[in-house]
Amino acid sequence: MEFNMEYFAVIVNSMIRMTTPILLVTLAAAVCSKVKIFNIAMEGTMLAAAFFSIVANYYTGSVLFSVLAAIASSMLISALVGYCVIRLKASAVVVGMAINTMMGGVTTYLLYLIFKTKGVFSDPSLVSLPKISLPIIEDIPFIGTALSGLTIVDYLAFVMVILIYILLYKTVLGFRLRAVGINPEAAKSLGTPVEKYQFLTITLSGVLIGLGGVLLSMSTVTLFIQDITSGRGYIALAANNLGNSHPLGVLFSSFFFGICQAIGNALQNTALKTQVTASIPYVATIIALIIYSVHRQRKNKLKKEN
Amino acid sequence: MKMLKSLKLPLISIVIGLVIGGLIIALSGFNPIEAISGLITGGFGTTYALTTTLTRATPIIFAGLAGALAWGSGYPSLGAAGQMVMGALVTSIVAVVCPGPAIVVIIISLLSGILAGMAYSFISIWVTQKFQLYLLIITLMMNYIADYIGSYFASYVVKDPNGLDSSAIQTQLIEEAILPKLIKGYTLHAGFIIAIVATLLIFFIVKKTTFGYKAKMGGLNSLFADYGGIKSTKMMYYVLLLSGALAGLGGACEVLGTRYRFVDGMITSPGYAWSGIIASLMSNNHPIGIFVSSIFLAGLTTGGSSIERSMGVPSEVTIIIQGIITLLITAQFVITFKKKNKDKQEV
Repeated sequence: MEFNMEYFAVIVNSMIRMTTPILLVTLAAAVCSKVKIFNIAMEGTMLAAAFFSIVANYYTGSVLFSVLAAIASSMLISALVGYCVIRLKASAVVVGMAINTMMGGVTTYLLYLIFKTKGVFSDPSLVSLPKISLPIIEDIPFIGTALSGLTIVDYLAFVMVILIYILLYKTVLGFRLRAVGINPEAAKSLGTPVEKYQFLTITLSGVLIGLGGVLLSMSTVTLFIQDITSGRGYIALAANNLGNSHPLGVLFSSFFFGICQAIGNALQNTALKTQVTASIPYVATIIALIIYSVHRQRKNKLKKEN
Repeated sequence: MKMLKSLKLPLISIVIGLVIGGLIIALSGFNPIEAISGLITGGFGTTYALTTTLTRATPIIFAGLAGALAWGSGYPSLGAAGQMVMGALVTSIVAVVCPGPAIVVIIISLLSGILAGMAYSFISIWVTQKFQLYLLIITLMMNYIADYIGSYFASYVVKDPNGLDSSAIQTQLIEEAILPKLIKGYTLHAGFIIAIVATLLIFFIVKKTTFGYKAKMGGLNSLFADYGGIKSTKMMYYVLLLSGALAGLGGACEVLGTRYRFVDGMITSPGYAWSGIIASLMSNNHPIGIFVSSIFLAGLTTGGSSIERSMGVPSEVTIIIQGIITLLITAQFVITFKKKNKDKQEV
């Protein structure tokens, strides 16, 4: 059988598109865990962002306002989570699950109230994120196809990796943030306003989650479906775990999940049943965590022996 | 007095939750007083409403007990949803395949549901314990996988051969081996009695046996527990297997009591497992409290579908109210806790 380069390029393209939403949310998880916050509410936050981007989209027809609506809603929700967890010291897991369920309810409720529909909303008047076409590169055979149709937010996701890396490892602020995560008590005794840093971090991480949500509702498809996030917020927690909360590590682990999802999608057209292909990302998550853990345990053992 | 005090927080949270729910309803252009009173009468007001609510409460009670056992012992498992699905699926297959008199088939299929829940829980425990992973993430992933397994089986392996609607994802109808109704003409079934028994059993285990004490210690502080001679790994298996058994039984009762078959999404769409966690939270993991809170939460949902029918208010408003109540309880729990600490310091 002849190897079809063009088909492979299409799959690479789909991998990139599947990676970027997870990457953005995983970056949010990474910065949060740098300041010792476990944000399980990202699933519901992302869902709300995707929903409100479509609402703003419908009423304004403006890409900018849609993106802003997504970011604003996810920052607001993240701030609420931050307030409950940091100020009121409530259980992060319970708050997160409450938010996730609530957002499932809020989006379905408003979907029905505003658009008189349950399940899916799509409309010809909705605009999608502008696709970037790179002048010379798009004519190169393989790379052109692999990068075709990517939006500005897709590229932004990769820029964010670099920006967050610089922020965390090359600035004084980043140093302080990491100090909060390593030892909150020590940081506090040095006069760092720990709670303020934590609150600002989780609130600003809402920007990343919001952008991730926009990529779900306004990129490859322009619509809102109930539970459009389908566990990406949870997978991001696993990806963050795998990537060791480091921007570059997170880049690789997000790619891994993007690849799994792209493979799942590509296999949908084969004899394999949807239930099998759709469960690939979740099974892959568990397997990846196991492999990572075995690797880590072996490393620790070697260290001990030396 | 102590009892009253522990009731104060959930009750205040419920009232505030309903008020905010009323506000949301008012903002959506409906009459909030009509809606909230409709919610309550629609959930508890008539024999039909009450029996529907108790039927709906049954799987929530099981999920709540399963959750409380795990969380109360310090193992944050969200696996009840997946374990219920597996319990329901296996029960639906066994009840059709197994020969014999109805009562024997019922017992065997309930037991197989319990075993399925335990087996599915075992996978999560083993993976978590063996590779030192987060139980929370593993159980979440296992829930998605269980959902797809259920859907796959109902679509291809044990699909209803007599189904008129070929798009319906469901298994064959169970003819004989079903749980009897408690009141003729209403949905309430014997699964509710099993839920009462399970509640009392867990109450007894948690409060009165050394196992209950050890379970709590094992989870709260594994180092301390190991020191005190309680093997925390073993304890984790015991506690979470029992939790899985309860969840599996909940799924099994739902099949044999209400649906008489496995239907795709029958456990996950109504959100039984999450309601169970809210119930255990509302009652601070107390089994009797879970029983009562589950009925309240189920009533909210029943009332929600009632006002959707009568007034056109989307029933999802009850999900929002549930979320608000949960947030209020977790947040306020801390406020009271802080006050206590402050008092101590001042003394």
